[in-house]
Amino acid sequence: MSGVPVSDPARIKQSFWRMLVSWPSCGYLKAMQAKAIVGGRLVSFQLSPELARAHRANAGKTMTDKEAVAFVEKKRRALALRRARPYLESRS
Amino acid sequence: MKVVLDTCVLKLATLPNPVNPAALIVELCLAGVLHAWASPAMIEEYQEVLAEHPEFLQRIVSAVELCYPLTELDVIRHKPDNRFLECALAVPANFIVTVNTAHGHFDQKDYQGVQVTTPGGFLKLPAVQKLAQKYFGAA
Repeated sequence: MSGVPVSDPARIKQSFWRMLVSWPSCGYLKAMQAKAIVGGRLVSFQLSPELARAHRANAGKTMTDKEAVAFVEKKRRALALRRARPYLESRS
Repeated sequence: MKVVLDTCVLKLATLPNPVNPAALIVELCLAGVLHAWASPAMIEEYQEVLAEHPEFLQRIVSAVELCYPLTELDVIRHKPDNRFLECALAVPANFIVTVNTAHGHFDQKDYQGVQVTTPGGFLKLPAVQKLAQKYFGAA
């Protein structure tokens, strides 16, 4: 046991900050990492805040290349239909 | 190195896939290691697909260099893909990075000097590996 009394303000302050840092939600503020294969090696890299936010919003979701293509095609179709709406409405 | 990123590459970059080459390519573009180019038509499509991530959209739109292609191409059977090719040929870009290499899409490996590659294939290129190493060294 150390000789420093428990009521020592410096120690209280230190334990307070330690508690704050170890608080589970602080993990949210930590820089997010992703992995990719570069030159046959799996490398880990830090994501920019905007991309990290997108990753958090999509947490638990994954997509194959084909699914991503299908997603984009669906959006393209929606955009084309929206553009064509005035013309289609004028014909009906 | 000048690149044109297909919209599906940006979509894949936003997903927490265990191995995500698309995210690394996007990070290299955001860091200015790679020069990404886009045309207004491409940006309109980026806006449509990345509407759920406005901050990322804003960041990528501010990072890309804008190009106004003067010609309208009809080379690829799937019409919307031609907007990407128009931009790549106007720049002229070194690569179009896409996962859509199916028949009727970016089914050729080379369009008048513009090479088509997948995100995984792109990271296998020695020149890109050098740039990535420089980026990791600086980070």
